[in-house]
Amino acid sequence: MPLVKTLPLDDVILTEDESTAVYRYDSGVVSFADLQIARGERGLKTGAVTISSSFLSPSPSHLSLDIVVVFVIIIMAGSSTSYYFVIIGTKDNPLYEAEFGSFKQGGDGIAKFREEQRHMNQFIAHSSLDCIEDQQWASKEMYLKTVDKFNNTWVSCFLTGGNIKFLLVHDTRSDEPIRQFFTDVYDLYCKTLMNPFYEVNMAIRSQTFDQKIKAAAKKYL
Amino acid sequence: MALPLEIPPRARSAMSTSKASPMYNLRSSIASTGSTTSLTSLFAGTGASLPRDIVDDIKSVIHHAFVPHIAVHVSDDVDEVVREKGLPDFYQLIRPYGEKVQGRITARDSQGSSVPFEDFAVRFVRLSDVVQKSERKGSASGNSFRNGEYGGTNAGIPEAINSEELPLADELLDLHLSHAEELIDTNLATETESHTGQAFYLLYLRKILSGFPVTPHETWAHPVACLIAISSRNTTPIDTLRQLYKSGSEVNVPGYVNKEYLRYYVLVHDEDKDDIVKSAALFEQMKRHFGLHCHLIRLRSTTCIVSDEDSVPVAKSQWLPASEELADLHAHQEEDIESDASSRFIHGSDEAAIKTMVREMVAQSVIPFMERNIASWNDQILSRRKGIGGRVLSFSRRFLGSTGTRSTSSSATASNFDSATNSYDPMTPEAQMRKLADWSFMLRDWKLAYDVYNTIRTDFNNDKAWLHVAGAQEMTIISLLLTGQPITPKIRADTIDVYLDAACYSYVTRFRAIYAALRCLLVTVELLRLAGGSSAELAAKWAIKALDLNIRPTVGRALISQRVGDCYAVRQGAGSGGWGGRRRKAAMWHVLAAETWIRLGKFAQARHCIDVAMPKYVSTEFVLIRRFVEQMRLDSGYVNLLDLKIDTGVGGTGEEVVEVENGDEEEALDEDDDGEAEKPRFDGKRRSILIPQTPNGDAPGVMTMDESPGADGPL
Repeated sequence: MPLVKTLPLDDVILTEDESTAVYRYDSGVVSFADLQIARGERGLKTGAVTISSSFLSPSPSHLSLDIVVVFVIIIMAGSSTSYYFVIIGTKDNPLYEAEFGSFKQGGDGIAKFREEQRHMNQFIAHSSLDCIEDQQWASKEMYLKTVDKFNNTWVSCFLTGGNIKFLLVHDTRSDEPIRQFFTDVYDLYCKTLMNPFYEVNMAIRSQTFDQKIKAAAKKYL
Repeated sequence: MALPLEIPPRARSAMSTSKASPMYNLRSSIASTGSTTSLTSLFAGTGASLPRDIVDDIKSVIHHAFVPHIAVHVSDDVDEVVREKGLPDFYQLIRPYGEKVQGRITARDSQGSSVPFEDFAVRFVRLSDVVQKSERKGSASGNSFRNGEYGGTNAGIPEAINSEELPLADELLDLHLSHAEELIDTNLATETESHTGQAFYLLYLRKILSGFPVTPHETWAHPVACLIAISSRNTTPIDTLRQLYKSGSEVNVPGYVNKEYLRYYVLVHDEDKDDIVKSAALFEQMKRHFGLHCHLIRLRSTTCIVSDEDSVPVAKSQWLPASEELADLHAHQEEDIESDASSRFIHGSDEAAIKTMVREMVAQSVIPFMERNIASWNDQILSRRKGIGGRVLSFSRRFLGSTGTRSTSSSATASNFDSATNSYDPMTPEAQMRKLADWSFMLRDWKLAYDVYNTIRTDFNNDKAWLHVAGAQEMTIISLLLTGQPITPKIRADTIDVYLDAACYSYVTRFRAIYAALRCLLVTVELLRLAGGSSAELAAKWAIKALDLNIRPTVGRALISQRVGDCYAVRQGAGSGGWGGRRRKAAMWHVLAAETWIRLGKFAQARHCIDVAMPKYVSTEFVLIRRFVEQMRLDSGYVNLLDLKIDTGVGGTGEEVVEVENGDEEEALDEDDDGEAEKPRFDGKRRSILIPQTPNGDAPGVMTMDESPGADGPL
């Protein structure tokens, strides 16, 4: 009966294509190929791999190995598809922010960002403005697709006429649904602009706007 | 309130006795980074290009990393003479002087024109170290993993390419930083560039680059020459020299190290005890026996003390590998302050003699030897390989090789590559070409080196010698960047990106050589960063890749994240809006670095990073960003300098400018409100803020709580 060992979350990282996990310990690195990733409930990813002791060099002392060991690795809790959406004004100021999760594949539409990811989302969105400023001249489209990447998250961007930017921070790539989402958001935003009490660069606090954005997200993302 | 004008006497006197910190001579090793101590922060100089001295500094670190290694092999009586002087051995005595060869050294490049170097260097190593460093491989390869897929190619992969220096460099930097923190906290030093800026990064880089392992795929650590020395006390001098020659050749270096290096014979004359006439006669005899590569050095054998007339302190080696420096520091920790070994002295005449010896050896023997070999390899191997004959040869070989595979014998038989030891024999054309490339690189003939690396890369590729391919790819990029030719987007995309990616893949995935990959990345990142513009962005991209190599929150990781920010910061935008700049990215990475610093308990570093990043976030409307940055400011015990400045009155604006230049700002301000502000800063703010984090459980900053038992959380 193989031994089951759970490795600490922080020490295991997953490659982008999720084919390999890398485990680092004091004196070396083990990487597990042939990883089988299973998506558990609440977005937990569990990876299992069977490895033999000869695979490890030098063998980590805390993982004394028998001939075959099965590792269960919990990787990146809450990494099921979650989105962070922000409308950024002309002075790098956020006008509207929302977080939502995917409704696809039985998702419940609730964002599952870890606490430390939430401020990172803002950092990522904010810093991607640098790249947007470069790319906005290069493309004739208003939808710039993914403009930036930080570790495993991408940033998609849509420009509006008034240099207001829609940014979506997401962890799976899918250009087309995001484009449809942005188009809907653009319509909503234009409607907001028509409001005589709304001025450009003002934060959008309308409940209706919020609901409609969430509806659009539910529809496309 | 005292005016923040001059260093308060308390601090000054403390500075002069700062030796009192027992285990440490921080100044010596920080000062060793040369002009970095006086550098202004990269960020402070918001100019479009880097200040000249920074460029020189980084370049010189890279130049001095890839230098000829000279093995030292001496008889016991030489070490005896040196021990009488109060130094451990001859090798320790001469090592620091190899790091800066006196005067100007000229070398001819492949075009035949001579190029002068003001700062040529060589690295002395013990001959036994060459063996040891490669032996690690032997012992480790035994338990090196053998998986079906890798079994064939990986047999005998040297574990040595995974230098042990890496964690040690982290540890060492940790010590240095803790010490710097201590100094700052006790007002002994100020929060200046030398303590927070890139000086530490340069130190880290230097430590990474100082202990090159002896590996088959590159020849940096293979000796170019061997210094063989006897002393005038020896009764059978010529025989001893022969014996040393013999034992030196028989020493168990791995097969891929070419043993046909230059031998340089040195006669150490004991000035105090022996007769110079006799030594001169012996020296003549040596010359007759061993040819021109001989030197007579006159050293005094008495111990030198400070009060002696011409005493000079023994130079400190700047390129000590992290392991040695750590051992040194630990040794000092145990020693008494009085017998501080770092304050040893030698006679000025001795120093001059050693400098002359090193200079003569390098200028008259080593460099001509290298030039001669480069020229002959260039003629015999490279031109043949590149010429029409070579093409036919390599083509026919490939042809034969492929027919070979068809007839079931492996194509490897046609190549010189020995996959069992993963190396080439030093006499094969491939090994010699790699050596040619490395040596011309050492003599800073980047153009030739680039050509050769480019050529051998394909050879290695044909032989499927992946480690060699990775090494050649690495050096292709480095030498290309050093040639200083403009880096077009095409080069960036087709050469640098592709090769770096492939080299890292080989190092990390095929060979798990984290050290090699990190070295490759960090050197390239620095050179790309110097190129500026969009290359700097590429530098940042690869620096981020380097972060992936080390996911633990170590000092190295923090330094590299900070470097990512620095790389982005180099890219300045156009116009007043800074279009196309990367200021936001730079700010984000500095915040991330600050986060890591706080985790590590290095608050001064964190404060520095926050300082740099703050302008971008000071008026941001992103709530979580603001909250996070504020929290970090509190965690790091940050005092808003701006507020304090306003508090202390506007009277001394002129003086404050002076302050900033001296880097005394922080100290002076602390001095200012000694009474009120210091307490909240260290006790009130930092510690009590950290406590509310504990219930979260995942707040890593809590780590520091262990060290502050006095904090009982008034909140």
